[in-house]
Amino acid sequence: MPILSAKETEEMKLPSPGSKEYWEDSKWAYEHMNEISEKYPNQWVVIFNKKVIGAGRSGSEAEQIATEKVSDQEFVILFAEKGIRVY
Amino acid sequence: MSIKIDLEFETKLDSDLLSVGISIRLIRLIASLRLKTAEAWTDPYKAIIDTGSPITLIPEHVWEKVSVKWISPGSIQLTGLGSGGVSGKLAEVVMVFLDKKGLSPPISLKAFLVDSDTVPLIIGFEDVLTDIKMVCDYKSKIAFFQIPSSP
Repeated sequence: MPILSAKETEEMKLPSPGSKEYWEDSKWAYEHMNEISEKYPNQWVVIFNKKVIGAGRSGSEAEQIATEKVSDQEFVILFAEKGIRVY
Repeated sequence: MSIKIDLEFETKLDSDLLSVGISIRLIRLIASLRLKTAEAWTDPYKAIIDTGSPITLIPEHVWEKVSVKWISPGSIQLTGLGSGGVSGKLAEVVMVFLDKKGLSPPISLKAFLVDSDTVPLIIGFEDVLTDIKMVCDYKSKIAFFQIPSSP
């Protein structure tokens, strides 16, 4: 069964569901995806404090920029797809 | 008992098509999740839920932080629609789904760990949509996972 049993997780410290600010940034990002995708087409984009604070061609590049700017605070990272993409 | 985890819709317009008078919405159904690392859990990530994908795909910048148990000894090539193929390996990872109210029980799943960042995180069927009830009603803007509590 993929869902781990209570016994299998009893020594696992579970994480938080994310800060209030993280979910506000998430909401902001999806409300502004048209503009974000136009400005950063097909790039990994980092959102913090309701603004784009970095973007990169790879996820690791974008995450590195974010970590330098906001340290260990939670940020939203997403791939700003432009056009119809099928995986 | 089960736990409900809300999903998000990403909706945007294809601006190139719009400029020639064609309105096409580009819609994605998105889950938020964290993956288990050696010591704790990753930061939250966004993943596309793709009922057309038999398996979950995890890009390199995500899985390189994660605690993995390799299943396939060598690299495998995945092919399909899109920009050709991607290479990677199969492994077991542990994740939790999140929404602003809470999180799911940990889920152990077989996933394809991609050798690059050329694809976003994609949630496919194996071990996830096979075991979790999903409701997706775009018209009402309601979408969620209904996940059984830990047995």
